[in-house]
Amino acid sequence: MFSIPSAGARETAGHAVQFYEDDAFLVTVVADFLAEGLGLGRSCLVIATPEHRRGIAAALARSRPVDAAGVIYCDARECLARFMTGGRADEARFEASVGRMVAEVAARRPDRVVYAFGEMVNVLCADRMAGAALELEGLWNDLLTRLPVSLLCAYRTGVLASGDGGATFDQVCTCHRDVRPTQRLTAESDDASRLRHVARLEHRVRDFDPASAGGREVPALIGADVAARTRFVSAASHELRNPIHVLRLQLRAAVCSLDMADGADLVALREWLRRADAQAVRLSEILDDVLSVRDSES
Amino acid sequence: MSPSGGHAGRPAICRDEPDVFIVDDDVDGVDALTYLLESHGYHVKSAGNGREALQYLRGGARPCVVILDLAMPVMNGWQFLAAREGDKTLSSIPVIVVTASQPAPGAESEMVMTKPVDLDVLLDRIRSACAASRLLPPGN
Repeated sequence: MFSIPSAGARETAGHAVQFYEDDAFLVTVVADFLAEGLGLGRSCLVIATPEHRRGIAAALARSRPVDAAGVIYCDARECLARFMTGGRADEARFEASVGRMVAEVAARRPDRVVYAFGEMVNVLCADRMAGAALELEGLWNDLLTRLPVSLLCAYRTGVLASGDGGATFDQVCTCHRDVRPTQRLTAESDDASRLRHVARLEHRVRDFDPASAGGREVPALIGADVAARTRFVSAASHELRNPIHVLRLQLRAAVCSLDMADGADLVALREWLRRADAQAVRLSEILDDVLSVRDSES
Repeated sequence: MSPSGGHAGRPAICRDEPDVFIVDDDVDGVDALTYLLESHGYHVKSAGNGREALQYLRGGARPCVVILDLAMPVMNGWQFLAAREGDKTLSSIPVIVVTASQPAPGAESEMVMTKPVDLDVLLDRIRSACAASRLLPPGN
């Protein structure tokens, strides 16, 4: 009654999502999934980051007695660039790019299910575009009504917004037929162990999740505060990266002006140091803004 | 060479072929990167947003590589990438995205770099892109 859907038994078309904390775990799950498809003589498609593509290919080559040459690999960001417009997933562009590619792969072995792994949604969420990720899930689901594809998606734990009471997480789960938890649960040896793990998680969550706290105010406030601080740190990090980036370039330029082939360019050096000082002032002002926001919220 | 030397005349609509084309609205960052790249022997041009960049590239310029920021006014980096992808003459020009957004571990690829970038790594990638570009026959 509790068996977790495995990467196997996916011969029918469908849409599953794997949550993960560890890259090695994800690579193994995807390699198992693809190995099953290859073993059945199915076409396989991977749309992933370069690191995961390398890991998946290596895992297949290392331990699977299958012809891994039949797997088609695509870059997740390059695919996204083909249909994302203005921060939105464009349906027509998706059909013309990803849809056409999947149709071509499916046409190689008619009447057989294509095994596909995709993590464009995780890339979008990492870029804080969860809305676009949900749009993309919808476009995939439309595509799956027309093409025989067993699609496995993946999200890194924590990549989905935590400040909305889990609404985005719930929406992601709704988009998929199978939802697979991280290795923390799948690593348990049997269903009894898994049930104990779930009970333990429920016990812990109850003290932090406003939705399950039964109206108790303090845990709700703690949950909201944690979410707000997470957003705050993320925004502050983003704001600080730009001036730090520029400051580093300016300091390198200052060093470079001393190493010119025809001797040190002291005029340029003075100018770069002046600009670096101005950038440091800008950085300090941003830091003051960050601290004032923190003080106003405390 | 003055610090602003390679960046004067923004928006950068040039008549000669650059090696590196920077698309970024942060003038200070563009100036510093231009200076550094020029000191390494590259010919550099720049534009302040995606729309200016498209105008420039559609005018026939063919840089070896585009250094692209994502958060920009008028037309952002995502919109630029989408327009480039739909244009066969532009899609072959490699793009290195330099962004302040922190991608999830594993999401960062060789063509996406998070600010503050390691200049030596960026130089390596520009060098590779330019070397590959020069191997292509004219017209590509």
